[in-house]
Amino acid sequence: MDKLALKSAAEKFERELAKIGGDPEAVSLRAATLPLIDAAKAGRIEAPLQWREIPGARLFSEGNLRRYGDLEGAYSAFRVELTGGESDTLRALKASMPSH
Amino acid sequence: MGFGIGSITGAFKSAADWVGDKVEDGAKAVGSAAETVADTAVDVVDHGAKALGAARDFVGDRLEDVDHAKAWVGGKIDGAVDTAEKAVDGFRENLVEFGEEHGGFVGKTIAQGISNNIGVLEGGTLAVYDMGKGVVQLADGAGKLVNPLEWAARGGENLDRLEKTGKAALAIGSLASPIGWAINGEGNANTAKALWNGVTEGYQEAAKDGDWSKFIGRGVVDIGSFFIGAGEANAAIKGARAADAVADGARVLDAAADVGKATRGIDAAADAGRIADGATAARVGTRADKVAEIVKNADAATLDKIKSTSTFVTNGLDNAGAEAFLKSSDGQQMLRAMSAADPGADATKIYGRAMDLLSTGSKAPEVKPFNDALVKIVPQGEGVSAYTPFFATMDDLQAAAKSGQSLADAFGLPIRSEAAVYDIYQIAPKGADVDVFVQTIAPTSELGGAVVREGGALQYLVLNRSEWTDAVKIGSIPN
Repeated sequence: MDKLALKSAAEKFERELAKIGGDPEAVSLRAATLPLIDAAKAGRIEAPLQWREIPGARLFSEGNLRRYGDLEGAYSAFRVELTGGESDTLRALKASMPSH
Repeated sequence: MGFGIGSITGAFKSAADWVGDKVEDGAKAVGSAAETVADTAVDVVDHGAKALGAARDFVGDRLEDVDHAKAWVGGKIDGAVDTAEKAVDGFRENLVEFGEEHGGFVGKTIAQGISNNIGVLEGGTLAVYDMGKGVVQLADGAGKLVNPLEWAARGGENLDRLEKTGKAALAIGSLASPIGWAINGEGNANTAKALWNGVTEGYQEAAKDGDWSKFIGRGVVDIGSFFIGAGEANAAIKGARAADAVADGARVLDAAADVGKATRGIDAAADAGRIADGATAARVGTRADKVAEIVKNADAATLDKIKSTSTFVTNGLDNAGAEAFLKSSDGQQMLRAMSAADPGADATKIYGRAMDLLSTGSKAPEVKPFNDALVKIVPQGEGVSAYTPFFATMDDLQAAAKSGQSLADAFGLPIRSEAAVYDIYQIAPKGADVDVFVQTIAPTSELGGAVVREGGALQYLVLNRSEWTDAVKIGSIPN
């Protein structure tokens, strides 16, 4: 685990959540992920999580949070770090999408 | 999509408190008095049956004379209904007075309940009247398939129509049993209303008059004929001659009477929402009862967890399994499709979305070219998210409905997305074959395993919604 990268991702995700403010789904996302955010910021996460264990995904697919692009990006980046950092697939995908 | 935690709580509390207390005890208490009342009311309804039977014969004899049929049917039934309504209303008033005089348990309250149930049947008569008028007002489509008169008059044509709209007809047929329809009046009446414009006016008039028992009664008859019509549609699919399978007016009314008996003892003046909630909760079995109990007894912190889905876990592919799939040719195709669907999304977002999908499936998905419609269920009254990739075929939805699981179990839904009634939305590919990714829904758990869903239904992942039509509501289905 790259605890510094994880902490940075957690802080960025938290900032994006704060920007959204009162959107009820964003409030739900914050409530769902706050324990992980706090643990990541405090350096208490020692081992990678399973992606499926991280709450909140349904709020993007079945809800409307995807309209907040920066929030989705920060949420995904946070989860990448929570699951152990960039995988081979993500690195390859990034390489194939240089414009981003 | 918004989620209605309040409606969930209300639904389950109603199941235990209301159905248990009112239906069981109330029905027994009413006893033979209700039977007598029912017989009387059915007699009155028979007036409508005769008129309707005559109307059917007339329509059958003059298939091409639609305008004439419209006037004749309306006039015949109009007179019968007017007489029946006046007679029954008077009897209802007398019955309440009788109850007041006798007091006690068989007192005004019960008498009012019986009276309201007569109102159910009386409303049924009125709905038949509406149906008689509506038969010549219907637009083409599934509405005709569930109208017994229409079947009587045009069995052969409807058989052809059935082949074109067969899936819609089957969806209607699978909605519920007649008893379920009766006690799930509000939600299913909405469906009937949407599909059957010929009776819409009648509902509105009953509601405007404030006689909710009649309003529910309209639902009973609409539902009774609805059910028979769809049943005959199924029979037609199996090769039965449509003309032989046609339900006549008397059968419609019999169905209404049977349903009325099933609902006897129910306080028909109770609000329809509670009726619907109770019906659904009764259908979903012990697993849902457990969920209901959890929700009913949940403290504020637990309700927050349910609302935020903070403890909802999909037990799909793990990180290694998902990575392995994404490295495969199908996985690469998935990533390309997702990227093409949203060119502005960066790699991290695309990767995240892919991992989210794979986390919900018990196995790696299979790519399939597809050119048929797909459906999705959402809690009644809520729309379909513009972003959701999760859909199913109508066949799979029906299979799930018949599986003995609740839909929430089969589709692995979180508690906050569980509803008494779901709306069914449909999308269709705009072009020819479109690739979809098909996978079995993985089990899910919530609240630390207190609520476990088996999953097991198939989900069709639509990665590029722009290749599909907008989601259109086509009906409703109980949980």
